[in-house]
Amino acid sequence: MTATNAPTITDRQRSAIEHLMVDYVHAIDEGDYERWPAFFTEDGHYQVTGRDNHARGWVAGMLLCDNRDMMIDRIYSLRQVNVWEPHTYRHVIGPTQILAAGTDGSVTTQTNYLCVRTMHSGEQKLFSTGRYLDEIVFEADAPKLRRRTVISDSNQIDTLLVIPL
Amino acid sequence: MAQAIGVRPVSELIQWPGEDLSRIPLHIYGDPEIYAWEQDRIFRGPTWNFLALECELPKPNDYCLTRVGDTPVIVLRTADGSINALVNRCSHKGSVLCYDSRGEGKRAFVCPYHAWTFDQSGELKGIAFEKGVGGLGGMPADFDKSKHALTRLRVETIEGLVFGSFSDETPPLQQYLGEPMVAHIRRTIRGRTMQIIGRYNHIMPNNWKLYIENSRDTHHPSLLHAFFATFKLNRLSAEGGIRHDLRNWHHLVFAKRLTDQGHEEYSPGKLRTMKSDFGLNDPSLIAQWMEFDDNITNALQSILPGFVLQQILNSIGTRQIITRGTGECELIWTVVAFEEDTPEQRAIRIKQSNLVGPHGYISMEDGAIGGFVQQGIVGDRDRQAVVEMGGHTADGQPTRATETSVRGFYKAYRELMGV
Repeated sequence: MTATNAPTITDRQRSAIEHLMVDYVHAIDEGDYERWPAFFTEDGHYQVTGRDNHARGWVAGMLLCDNRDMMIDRIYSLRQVNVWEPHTYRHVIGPTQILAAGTDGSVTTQTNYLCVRTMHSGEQKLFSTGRYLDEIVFEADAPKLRRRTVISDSNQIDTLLVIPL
Repeated sequence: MAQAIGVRPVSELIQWPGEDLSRIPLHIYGDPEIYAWEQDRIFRGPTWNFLALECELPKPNDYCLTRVGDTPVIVLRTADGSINALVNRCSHKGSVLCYDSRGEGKRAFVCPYHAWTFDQSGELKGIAFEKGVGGLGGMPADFDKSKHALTRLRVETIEGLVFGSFSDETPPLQQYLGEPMVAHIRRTIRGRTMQIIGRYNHIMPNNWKLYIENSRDTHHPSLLHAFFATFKLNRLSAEGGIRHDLRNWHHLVFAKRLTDQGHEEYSPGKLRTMKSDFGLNDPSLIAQWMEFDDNITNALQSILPGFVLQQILNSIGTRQIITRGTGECELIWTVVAFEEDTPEQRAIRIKQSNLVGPHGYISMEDGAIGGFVQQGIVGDRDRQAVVEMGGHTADGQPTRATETSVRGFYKAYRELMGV
């Protein structure tokens, strides 16, 4: 998608989308995981996949959720059920590129991210870099993710993936 | 071809503690000399190692790369359709011949360094400047190209799974697996046409053997993986069991989830959501259909040394251990669907991929727990692990509250290592 045929959206929409991107990573990085499902529509779709998996059309990604209830279950499990060594993420995101505007009012975007994982011991590791490929819709002027595909540049996951990217 | 060069004899490195199989010496998880012997005696020893799925090589002249232990291997489909496996090391200077993880139309393998050229059987066919330039230089007249082929593995397949062996002493694949293991592989794949739907490369912060033990440890799932117990998916009280081959090298653990349900509920092809058991907001996660007449809903089949065939509800897949030094390993999870699936069945398999892999509701802890052990033992290399649940032997037992299969793995380990 080149700049010359970039779809037009209003400044207000663009600003709302940028706010969504920033708010999303702060919610996760500050451990406010219960806020995560609310960034999505009720039937929102989320998954993490590797660049190679994505290129090959392999559809079974990681942390796959096809509605908000599944996301709520993931966070409940993260808090109450799964066993993992305490750690946090720090995301740094790049500017959001608008790729397409659908006739249904949806906007397709992509945003680069870099995520460092810090263990409770203090050890820090580059956990993942990649891009968010998003489909965004506006619900009462508020942008929501209808689909977020996290395409990690690497197919490797170190130790485990429990906190959403 | 050996890794154990310049290291002490294995008999000096490992003295197994005790009279029986109920102790494991902790230093075997961190010793580079032992690791070198494992490469020779286990991965390049009389064993069959999983290499690839046949569906990754759909056409003649396709290839993909894998590793057996540390050794890089090219798996390829020849022009006539058979499958070969060659060590990815040029016999000239040792460079890898292929550096792209897969490809097609590959009739010959040309080394990027000095263009030595090998055919699909690994035979050396050409050397650049073999005759020199202008009558000068070049290879000596008595240089025999036939003595410089690539190392070739034996290859056998079963139900679309490709295995390779470095050793002439390994029995044929089906004999190596034994009848109960062959029967279960055939039962799981059932001649269907596999399609890969996802792959997860899971880096584990532990020695490879700690994952193999874990995959054979039948009494940890309901304890470590709280998801099972919380949602009543795999209680030890559920009907289940363990099967071995005659040598106790390979191992199958299974559970029948629906043994207390009405027949109509688990007729093949019927979708089912167990809301009564389940505390999740969206129970579609574990919607399943009874895919197999034996009513087994969970089965892990471990094939020595580093392969697992998995069925978790309708999530079918393979797990392949790749060694990465003494303190790390990689588990390659590949989840599959079948061409014969209905769209609904395929959707269920995709959704159930949430249960497995580095993100899996019932498997993510396996990445953490090996690291916990590796952290815990670092100051106590002279101590031993205790594996006495269910006794001291490696016999088959009619319960999963036992460590018999872990003892079975070390019985095989000691036979292969000669300790």
